[in-house]
Amino acid sequence: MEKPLSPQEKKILQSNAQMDKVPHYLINQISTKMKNENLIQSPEALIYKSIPGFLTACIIGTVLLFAGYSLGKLRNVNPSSVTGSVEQSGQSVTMAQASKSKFILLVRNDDIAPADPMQQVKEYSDWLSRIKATRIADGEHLKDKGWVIHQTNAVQPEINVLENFTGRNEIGGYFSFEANNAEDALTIAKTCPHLNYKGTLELREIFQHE
Amino acid sequence: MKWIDQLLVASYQKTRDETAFKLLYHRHANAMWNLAYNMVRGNKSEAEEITQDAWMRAIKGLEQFEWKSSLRTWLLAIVINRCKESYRKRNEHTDLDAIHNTHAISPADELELNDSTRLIQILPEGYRTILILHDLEGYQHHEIAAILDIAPGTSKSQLHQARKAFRKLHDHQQK
Repeated sequence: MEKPLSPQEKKILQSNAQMDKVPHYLINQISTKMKNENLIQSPEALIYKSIPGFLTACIIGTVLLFAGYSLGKLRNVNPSSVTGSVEQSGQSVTMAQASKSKFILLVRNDDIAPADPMQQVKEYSDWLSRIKATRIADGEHLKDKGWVIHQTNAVQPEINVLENFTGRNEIGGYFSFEANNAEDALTIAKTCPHLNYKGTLELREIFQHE
Repeated sequence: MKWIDQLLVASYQKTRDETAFKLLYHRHANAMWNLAYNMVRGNKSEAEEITQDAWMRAIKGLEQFEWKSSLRTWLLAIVINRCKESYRKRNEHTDLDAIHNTHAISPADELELNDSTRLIQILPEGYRTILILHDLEGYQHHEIAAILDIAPGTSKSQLHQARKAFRKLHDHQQK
């Protein structure tokens, strides 16, 4: 057995040996090569991989949100602009409207005088908003001043206009909304706050032409 | 610290985690680099290529590694094998048994010696390997045997011949 190297010989060997530090860029080169061959994944990639459910939920949530928004917008089309909406949105709107009947709820001015008129207006407005949340609906309050127009003489027609009528049975406003049928419309009508003020409502179905 | 390597390898294998790989790299890169760098006589670009290839092979072959030796030993064996491939490409002699005698050092090499000559560079590959692993890197014969896939006895006899050759060259350099 050859004797071990002496400390001096070892020193010579060490000075002879090529001692250089590992190039700092080597690890990046190796990492890149490994990534190209899918041998490693960066921590960022692992994070995304570990929460695929979260991403899926985000996508589904976004789709549902968009669908809900679109549906809500579709159902809140103002009746006065239905024609325009049909032109813009296409056949789906027509189909949605055709499947339901339209009703108008006439509100007579026979209610008791409210302690706070603004509170009454707010109640009517909130009630309409609730209906609008699920179906197309609209409503307006009419001014007291109005005109009654009728022909007084059949032989020699004369148009008679009566101004400023404020009779208790006159119409003070209206609500219009879609309903599946008369029963559905009556159910809605019975919740109208006008009844709380002892007022009278008149529900009529709007004739729809095919 | 075999358990640390086992932990890191398991972590890497589970998710191909880059962080786990980098920790493994930092634990063993120096040893692999030093071996490769000395084996190719300080050719930096070749050492880089060998080290890169060795890591790629190691990562791809981790599934087959059975932990019969330490991870370091296995990684160095890959470096050695990769070096041998380089030698073969250059038609260099790599057979340890074939350079078992001191005549492996040619008279021409001796003639080229001067004060600045790095003796280890002109040693035959087999001798250089043993000297680097045992006297420079401090590996035991059973580890060298595992790295080089030889018997421990062969490692001892090779070291004997390698030291003898080194001393001969050193003496010649001093004259």
